[in-house]
Amino acid sequence: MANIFPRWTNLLPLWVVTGVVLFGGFVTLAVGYYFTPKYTRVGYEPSQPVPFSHKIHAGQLGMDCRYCHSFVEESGHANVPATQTCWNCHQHVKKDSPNLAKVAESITSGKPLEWVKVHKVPDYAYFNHSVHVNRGVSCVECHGRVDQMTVVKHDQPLSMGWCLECHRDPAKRLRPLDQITNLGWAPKAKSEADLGQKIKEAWNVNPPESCGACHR
Amino acid sequence: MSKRIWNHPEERQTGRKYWRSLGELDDTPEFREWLDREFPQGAAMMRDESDADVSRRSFLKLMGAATSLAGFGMAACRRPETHIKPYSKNVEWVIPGKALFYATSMPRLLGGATPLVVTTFEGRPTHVQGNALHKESNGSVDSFAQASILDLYDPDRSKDFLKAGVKSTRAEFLAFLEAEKAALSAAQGKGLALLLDGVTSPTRQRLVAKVQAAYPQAKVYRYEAFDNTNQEAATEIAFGKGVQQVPHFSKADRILSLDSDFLGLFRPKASSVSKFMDGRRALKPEDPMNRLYVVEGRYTATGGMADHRLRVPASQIMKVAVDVAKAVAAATGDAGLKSAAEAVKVGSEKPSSREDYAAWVEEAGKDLAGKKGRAFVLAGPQQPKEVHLLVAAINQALGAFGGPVELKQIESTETGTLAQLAESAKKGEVTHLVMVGQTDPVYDALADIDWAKAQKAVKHVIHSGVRHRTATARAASWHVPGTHYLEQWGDLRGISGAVSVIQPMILPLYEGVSDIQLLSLLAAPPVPAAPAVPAPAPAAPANGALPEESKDTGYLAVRETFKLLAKPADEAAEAVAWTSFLRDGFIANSEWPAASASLNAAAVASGVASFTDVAPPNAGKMELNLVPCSKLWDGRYTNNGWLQESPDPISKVTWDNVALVSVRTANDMKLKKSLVDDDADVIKLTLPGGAEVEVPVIVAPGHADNSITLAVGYGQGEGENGPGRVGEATGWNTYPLRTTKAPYFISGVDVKKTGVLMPVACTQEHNTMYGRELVREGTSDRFKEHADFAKTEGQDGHIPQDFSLYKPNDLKGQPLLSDKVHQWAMTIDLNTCIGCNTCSVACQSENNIPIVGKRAVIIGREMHWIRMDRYFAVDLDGGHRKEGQEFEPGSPAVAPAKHGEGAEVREIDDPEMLFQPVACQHCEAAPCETVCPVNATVHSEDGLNLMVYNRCIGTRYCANNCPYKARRFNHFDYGKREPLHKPDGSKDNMHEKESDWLGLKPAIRNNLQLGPLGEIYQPESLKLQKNPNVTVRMRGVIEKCTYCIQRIEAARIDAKKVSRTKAAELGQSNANLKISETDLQIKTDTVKTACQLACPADAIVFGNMADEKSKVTQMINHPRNYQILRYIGTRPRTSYLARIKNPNPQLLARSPKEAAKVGQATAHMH
Repeated sequence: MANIFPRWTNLLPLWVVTGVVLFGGFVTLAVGYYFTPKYTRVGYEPSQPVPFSHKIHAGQLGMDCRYCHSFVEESGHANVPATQTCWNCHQHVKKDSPNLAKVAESITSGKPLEWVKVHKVPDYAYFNHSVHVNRGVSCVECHGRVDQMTVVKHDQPLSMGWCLECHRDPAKRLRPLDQITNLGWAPKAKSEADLGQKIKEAWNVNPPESCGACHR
Repeated sequence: MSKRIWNHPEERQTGRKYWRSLGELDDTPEFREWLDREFPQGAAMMRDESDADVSRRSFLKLMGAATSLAGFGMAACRRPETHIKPYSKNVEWVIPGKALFYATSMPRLLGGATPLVVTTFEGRPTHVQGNALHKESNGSVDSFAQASILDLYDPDRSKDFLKAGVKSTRAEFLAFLEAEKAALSAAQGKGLALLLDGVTSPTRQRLVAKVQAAYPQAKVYRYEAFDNTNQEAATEIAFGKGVQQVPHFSKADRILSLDSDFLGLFRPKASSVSKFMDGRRALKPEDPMNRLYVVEGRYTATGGMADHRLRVPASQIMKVAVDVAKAVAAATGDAGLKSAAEAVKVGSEKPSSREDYAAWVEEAGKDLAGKKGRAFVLAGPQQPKEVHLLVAAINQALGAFGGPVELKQIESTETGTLAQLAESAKKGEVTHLVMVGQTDPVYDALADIDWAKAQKAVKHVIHSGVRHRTATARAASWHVPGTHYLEQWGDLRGISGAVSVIQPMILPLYEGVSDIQLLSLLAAPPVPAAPAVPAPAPAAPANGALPEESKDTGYLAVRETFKLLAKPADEAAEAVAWTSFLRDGFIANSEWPAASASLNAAAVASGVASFTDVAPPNAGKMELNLVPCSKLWDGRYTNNGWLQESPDPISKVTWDNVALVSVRTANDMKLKKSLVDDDADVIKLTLPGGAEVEVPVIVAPGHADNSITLAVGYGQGEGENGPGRVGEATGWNTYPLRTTKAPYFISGVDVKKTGVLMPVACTQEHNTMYGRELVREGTSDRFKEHADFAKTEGQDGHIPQDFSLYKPNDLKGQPLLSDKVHQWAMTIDLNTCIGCNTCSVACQSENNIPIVGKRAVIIGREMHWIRMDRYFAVDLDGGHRKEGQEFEPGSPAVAPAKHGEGAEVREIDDPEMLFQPVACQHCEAAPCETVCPVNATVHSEDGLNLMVYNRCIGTRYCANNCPYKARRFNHFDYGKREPLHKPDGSKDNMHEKESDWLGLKPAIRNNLQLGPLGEIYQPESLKLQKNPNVTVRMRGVIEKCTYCIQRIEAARIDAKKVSRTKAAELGQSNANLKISETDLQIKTDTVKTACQLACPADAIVFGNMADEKSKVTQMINHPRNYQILRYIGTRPRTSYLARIKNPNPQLLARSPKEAAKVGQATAHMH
């Protein structure tokens, strides 16, 4: 009886096994690398109920972040402003713009606007805004150049590894307290190159790395 | 190097023994087996292989299939869109994410107020604590106040107006009320009756007077199932009308309690415990200590604190009072007291079988008399008025009035009793009855009043209250949903008269009408015809202020009362005073004036003569004590899961009321004594009047013989007729046993063992740290001689130096506890701990700890982070052992008798009782950390043992390796699947013994039984209670005490804000600013844990041991400080302070039994 299977098929199981192992390994690595916040979250740019542009308000008009996010230095939450805050100006400016219809409605009805949440850490992680902005970490470090965004998008991964990167070496991301909300600030070329390091030492900035700082 | 094996030292076999339960004392094989199991709790479900419905093999098969199927579900795994909803208008003071604190107060159960400070997050109250500014509080709360916040969010509370049990509307009720008001008004109010509860509110009093003015013939009655009327009646006889006795514990050096649980259930004020403890903190050996004598029938928190305790059945207390009175009269030479004591006609039997009884009362009397002016006697509210009269006479002889007992002149009001109301209702004299407050007489009225019949005779019964699932509400023609005290305006008078505010923390969650609003409605003149269409709401004016007419009538009424009480000079002063009333929570200097009354000795002598004595109980004719429940009080908290599941301080039973008997009585009746298998004997009680009840019975060492204690408040029905999802089918209704003749203790009760067994959820054998000297105690003399005696007790005297396996540095040689300015620690002073469980409930409220239900408690799955261990200590060789003689096990002369036989029974019935709260000890060398395979429990640099829920995979190795048994496991998704919710709405019988836990048989009914297959459902209202700063844990993770890390982190973050304030001071930005480590240190003693704030005795101290000024550093360096299980080298951060007893040397000299016992709990163990 002739050989039904040619000689090369003897190696077929080995090839199949090798192929499966390689493919499986590739899938594992790919999932491990790409299914992380760096890829799944960064760039998330949902449309909001009111087409509010940070680019116009914080960029062109130069409003300080804290005009609206007024409790960021006090509270763990950087509060989204009450409709009333919008209405402070918009009762005079562009009051009848169709873009502001929902704001006007919220003011008369008392119902809140439903902003879509962009930046979200898991429920078991307790991030605190106030401690960061009071210790020299600017908004831009986590939120990117919001003053250049027409629609807010997710700029940084906000994953635990990413947080820890800075907690282990904060010097690069520290700046004087009066520059916290100046998103375009950069150290002046030479003279301020090691400013972060100086601030870290002078202010005794030793960010916690133990789990209890964020998880409880 | 060979592996180092640490052998636990053998338990010392001395005569002195500590035990938490009789199973432990007996050391039965069943108890040993229970302890030796690797996971006693989990194993309890499956006693052997045949119990398993699912084998390991089929489980793995199923899980494999489930895992492969999971892949198909991955397609749509985008994170769901979530929304942020900011306010439309900014709310004054609210900073999202930050808590606000408001002063308010809660009515106390025996009258008066518990002043509180309430934590609210964005307008949602989540936690309460005591108001330290208030004189009557000192920052103390009790477990009722602590748990009351859960009642606000109870999904089963009253939400709708009910007309004869059918849902109605507010408009319909108002139309009815106005029509009836018009009719009543025409008849001068004839037929109208008001039934009030015991709340002492000035506004309510004013409004009731207004109602009486509008309806001159209306009658007012007051009713509480448990009250202080016996004492009030006695005070009226002795001192005249309108006088109130206010005890001041801090002014007393010697106190005798006659059946008064003044540290536990019958605290006169919120601050009573801490004031009493101030007299015996024993911070220095030379500090004077007060001395407490207690005579009582069952162990109470007060009895546990006693320096000398005498157990006497409640009906025999008068005999002790007479003997003490005679002793005091002899020592003081007070003729009035002598004649009063002789006027009491009591039998000649001795109330106690103790041979040293005569010495006990004599020495106690002498000791009291020796401290004239700084000694007093208290009697419990359940004792008849004659006892209170005699006590007043003793106090007079002791010079207590004007000293430790203050007499206040109060505004008294004339109200009728429930019995009088029932009588006139049955005669048809009442046509309209309005019940105001929390009353439920159909359920809890004395049986012979037959209130149900009386209520039927009334044409219109309007019942109001937060609970509509009560017998009274069901029988009423109208039910008006009430408001919780956190949703309403009101005010309260404390026992000394101070006026406290009740201010709303939140708008009523449902359509609630507060008692003050209801009374205002009644007092207002009738409106001719209610408008068919409600008037449109007035438009909000531009300036944001509410128009006057839309303001809450409750607010207006309270403010009007305030004007009358505070007597401000003008409008502006009134506004300022009102604001500080709201801020501080009370009106300064609003106490009642002192009374000028003096004791009327003749009235006392004739008053006590009316006492009718009964013979001491015996085996055939036992005595039954009906007491308010330590958890449900009169039953009003039946639907409060935190209270239902908090173990009774003494019996450690949850979810049920069980009968308590002494060891001797249990022996006589051949009752089962160990609860290792969670089954208790059922007994049948038959009263002389014929009433019967069958209840399970457990043995309570320290109980009087031939006497039975039974709590009320349970058995309020099941299903539709039940009190709600939590309280349904719990316990047995014992109210039918109470009669006017004998409301508190009943003599001549026939008791039979039925032979039936019933499961009881008792926590006393759970999480045992077996056989080590964990609680330590000494006498004041010993403390003076040898201040640090506790440090060398037990195995702690034999610890080698540097014995720990764990080194304090990491691999690079850096210290692991690297934080130089913060190192957290806690001390618990056992000298002042009364075991009241308030800390445990406070922890539950602060840390989102779930309840698990009766069945889960039976198999040891309770979740409390703080467990309150209750120990009994007894000298089994009865003080006969000679000094220096070693105890030899088995030696017939001194062998500890099993408590089944012999004369030693009495010894077991006269034990010392000690409490010890145990939570995670935050060991520096924590055994749990080394065994976690995923590093889910690790140490922080400031000395906290952290638990990282998101890492935990639920191996439970940590819990197994914890020597303190302080870790709890989430067996089910208690947060997501509300344990007591029933998907199919069918009935559930808690009394049934279930053995088919995970078998998914038809018997499984609620989410608790369904476990992971339960319906994902959590009532919206319960979510509102959760603390937003603490993770709600999911199934499969371990949890434990965190030292309230959320509070520590908040304080640490606040301290770091110093950068901003310093930069502002500097006037320029940047790096010129110098911030040192000490700048970042949290201010001394500003972080306080929830348990610490809750503790009424201030026994818990938490703080930073790296800060030399902190209180915790002082307590750690205190000579009485010791660590539990120190010899295993875990270096726990929680340490304890040994208890000190202050016995009377004269009594010790006369009674070898007391000498062998008092303060000697650990003396023989060295």
